Amino acid sequence: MQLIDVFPLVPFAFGLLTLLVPRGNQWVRILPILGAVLTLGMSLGFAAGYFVLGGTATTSSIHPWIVGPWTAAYHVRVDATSIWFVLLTTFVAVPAIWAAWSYGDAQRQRGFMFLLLTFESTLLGLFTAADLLVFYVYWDLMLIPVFVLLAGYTGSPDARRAAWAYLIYNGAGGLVLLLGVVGLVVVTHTFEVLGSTFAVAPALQWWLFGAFAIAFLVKTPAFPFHAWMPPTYTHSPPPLVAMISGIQSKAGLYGFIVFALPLFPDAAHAWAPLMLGIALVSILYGAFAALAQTDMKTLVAYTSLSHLGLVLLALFAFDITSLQASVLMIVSHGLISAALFIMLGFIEERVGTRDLFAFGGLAAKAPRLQALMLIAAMALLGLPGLSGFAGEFLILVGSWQTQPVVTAISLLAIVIASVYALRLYQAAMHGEYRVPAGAPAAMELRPRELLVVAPLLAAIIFFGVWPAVVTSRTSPPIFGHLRSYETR
Amino acid sequence: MDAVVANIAPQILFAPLLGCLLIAFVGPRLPRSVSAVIGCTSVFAAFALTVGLAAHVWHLPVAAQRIDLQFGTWALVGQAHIGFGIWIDPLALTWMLVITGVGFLIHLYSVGYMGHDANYRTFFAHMNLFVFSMLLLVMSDGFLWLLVGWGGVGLASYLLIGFYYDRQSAVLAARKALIMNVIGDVGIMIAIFLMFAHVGDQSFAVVFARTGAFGTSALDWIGIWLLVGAVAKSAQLPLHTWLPDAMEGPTPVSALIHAATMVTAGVYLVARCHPIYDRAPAAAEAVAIVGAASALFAATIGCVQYDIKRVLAYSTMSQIGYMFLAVGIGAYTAGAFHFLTHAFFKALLFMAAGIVIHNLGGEQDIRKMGGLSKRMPFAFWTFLAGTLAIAGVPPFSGFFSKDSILDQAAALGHPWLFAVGVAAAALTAFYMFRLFFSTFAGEYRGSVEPHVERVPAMEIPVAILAVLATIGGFLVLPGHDTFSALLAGAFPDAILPLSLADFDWPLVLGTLMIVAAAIVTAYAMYVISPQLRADVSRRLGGLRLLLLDAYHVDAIYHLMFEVPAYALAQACGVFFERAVIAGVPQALAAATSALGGLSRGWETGYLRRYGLTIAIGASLLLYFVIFGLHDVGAR
Repeated sequence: MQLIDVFPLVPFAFGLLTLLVPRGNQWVRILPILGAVLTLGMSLGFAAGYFVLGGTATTSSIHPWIVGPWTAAYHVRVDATSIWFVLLTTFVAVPAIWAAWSYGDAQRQRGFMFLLLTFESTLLGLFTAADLLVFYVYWDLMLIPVFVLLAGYTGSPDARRAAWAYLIYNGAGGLVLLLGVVGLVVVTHTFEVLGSTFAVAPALQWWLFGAFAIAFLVKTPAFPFHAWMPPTYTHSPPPLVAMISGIQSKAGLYGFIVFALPLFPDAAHAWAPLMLGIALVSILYGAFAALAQTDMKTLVAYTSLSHLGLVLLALFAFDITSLQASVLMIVSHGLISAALFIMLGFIEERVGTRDLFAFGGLAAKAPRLQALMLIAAMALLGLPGLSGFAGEFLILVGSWQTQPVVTAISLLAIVIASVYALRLYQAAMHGEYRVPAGAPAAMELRPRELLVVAPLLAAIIFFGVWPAVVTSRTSPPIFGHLRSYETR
Repeated sequence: MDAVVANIAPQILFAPLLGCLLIAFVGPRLPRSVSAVIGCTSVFAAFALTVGLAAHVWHLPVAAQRIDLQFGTWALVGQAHIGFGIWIDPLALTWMLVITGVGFLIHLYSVGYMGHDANYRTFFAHMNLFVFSMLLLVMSDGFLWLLVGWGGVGLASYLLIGFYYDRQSAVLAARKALIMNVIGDVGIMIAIFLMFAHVGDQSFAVVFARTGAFGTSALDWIGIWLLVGAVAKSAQLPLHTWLPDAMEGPTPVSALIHAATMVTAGVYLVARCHPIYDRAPAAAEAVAIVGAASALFAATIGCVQYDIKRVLAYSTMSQIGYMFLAVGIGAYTAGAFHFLTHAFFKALLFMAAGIVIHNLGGEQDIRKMGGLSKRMPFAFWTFLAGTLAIAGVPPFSGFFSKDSILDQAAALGHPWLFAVGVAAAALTAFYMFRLFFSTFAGEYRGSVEPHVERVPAMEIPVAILAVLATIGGFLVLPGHDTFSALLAGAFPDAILPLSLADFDWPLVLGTLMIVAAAIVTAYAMYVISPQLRADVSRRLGGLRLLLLDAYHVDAIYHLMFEVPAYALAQACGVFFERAVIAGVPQALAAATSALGGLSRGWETGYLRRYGLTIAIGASLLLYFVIFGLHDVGAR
């Protein structure tokens, strides 16, 4: 038994502990954050271990699970790709859970914290799974905490509708994924599919890739599978949406990088034109749709569509530069969207509305909030020197080499991004100070809130100034199994 | 690696950044004057170090004056390595000297000008951020970090245009400036993508050394996309509309960012990329034509504007047009020289105008000025020096630099560019003296008597700049072409000497006659005879209105870009989302439940209905069993 075996379950264990604490006790708040910080520390340890020692027993563990005509194992690991998803998860979970201190009434905070920690566990389970069955189990498990949080902890009818939309869409995606998984295992007779090559007939590959892709596109989401996203992002409490948009939206992209592309290289090429089309439409449609929104959270929701569409472009441009940069862009988007949603939560808490036209001029009363929002907004619009730019730029450098036309058209989204990012920032911060009646006089960030967001913003600057930390570690060897990229 | 350069250059770069961070994080705990001290000191330190560095580099042999320092890796992707490095050569040094030197003077001026502002600290933090970003832009050794600096000055410019953020006009002006600059950023990004496509690198050293690997067509495209970036940053046609609006920012900002330094970044970019433009004739020609057109275009608008800062903004656009013209025809030294003198006289004009505005309590309309020569003699004399310099009256600095450009345009065989340049020079002399006379001559037309306050922190920098604007041209004197000699290390294969000895004197004298006539006309219209002015206005009629609205470019862009973009946004984000993305699943759900409703009709609970149904089904089954399915299929 290795530490990595139980690592994904650590947040869940802390969630259970939290449930045992008497209602209203201060440990209801302290235990979850302790658990999140401990998990972050462990993931940093795994990162250090992996990059120093390589893949050894400390970062990879396998136990037989199902033996028979179809074999499966409890196989968990971190490697140079998955470690970035694990780090993103544990790094974003800390501020999200810390921000959750101010959400949910005291009566129900235990459950709220338990579900957030459970959600983190399912995500970590997904990103550490090396066995397709384990992956699939976590893929569907993660729907439960999100659904319960959305349906049960906000109380509004809109949120309940959003919860059902979330469940039905992602559940349906999970079913399609199940078809794909079963179809594959019929051929391979094992769920241990990573790192091996199987001769899957091209015709079957085409169908299996399609099944995986649909599930992954729903989860990301990409156009036109995104109907669940705007209501879910808009009506989720800020800590939850920070985790959905910051982490869960990467699950599908992770699935492409780690499973679908290496397993079905021929089909990936056959599907590439359609996938590039979906990517391009997502990029532009998301940008323009964001421009039309008046609800702050919905606006940021659509920017996700646009930015993650760019990651799809990176994956299907079949260029090594783009592929390495896609991991950077994924990390960057996770940091930026988590920071934005958490801060929008702070703002909504103060002014009592998400309507951009119902308030304004907060800069006059809250210079610190303004400064932090400025960094996040600039990262969102891709200001050179911040992580959003580094990801975008490196993806586009690569994709220009193989897909110049698609890349050139997608550049329009960068210009539109500057419009929606400034619209969001300026409407909230600039102009004359006005808030709806009944809003409190104190608008400035409290010290805790400042500390919640500061690490995310610091990371945004750090990865913008020094993206080599990510890109030089997701170096070509780790993508060696991606035959798709060698056959271009 | 040159040890002196390796030691000093990073300090120059980071001194203003350190100042910015100190003001932002420590400043709020200290008295507000400390922020100003930190801001001024850090920029002055950068200036002093730059002077030292320049002295060192200019003592090296010409061939050794280009120093490329490598510091580390920004990103390692695929086969590409993108590093971070500093590139020092005489071109970079020229810009660095102006950025830190003029930057320091404007910081000092701001101590007085912004003294009463509540957001005094923020102002200095942003100004320092600007100086740092601008230095990064000109010190980078590759296009990536140039772009980071490029974005940074765009951000600082955005923040400072929108400094009075409770004013809606300032907020909109700031947004416009940033969006237009992002368009330019995309242009530079495409140029970089093309460089990667051809040589797999973005550093100056590799790209410039391997221009042969591109082919003329690719170089032309790269030149054109770089020009898109340059045009956006330098407010040239057709991406110029943000600059007049940028005057919403405080006057020191207009002087530093929107006159002396940032808006000349486009000129720097073209001059820096001279190995590209030298081999890309079409792109170079485009640069020159854009410049000449902008010079004339802006000069015509400048003739009718009433806002003192807007006139100066259009004059900036026009003067940068001259610089574009120069670097477009390959006269890089002439372009850089005009950048230098322009930084002196335009910063001077803005700051002298700032004194006027300050004393008039924020009034910027020249129709409400007049007669200020006696009330504000200091502003009067300094503004006069600036006006003479920009109008190109010898021996003021603008004469030398502008006539160098015109002379080279003629000498290199561009008669049309020369003609446009002379026309713009005449208009410049006219509108600048119109501005000067309207402000200082005649009777005071305002309603409130000006409250004249003499602040040494404001007057000292203005006085220094007045001296520089007057004598700055003497870097080029007959037989003593110091400026070309200084820049020789930057353009080893493309140096064009500037020397009065080489001037084509008939052309220079002709230009001077035209300029003199323009000044006399302005004098006649704005000092001697208001009647004449009224007559001319009436004669111009519609043309005057066209110019007053800057050729309606804003309205045209609004209709061409904003309206369709927002319509498309509504179509995607509201209509399509509701009707299709959310609508189709809802329709499916409705159809499903309707289907359920239909089938629910079968479950009536009546036994006789069930019996009937079973009977019908059984008969059909029997029929198929007896007669077979084949018959059904065959029919």
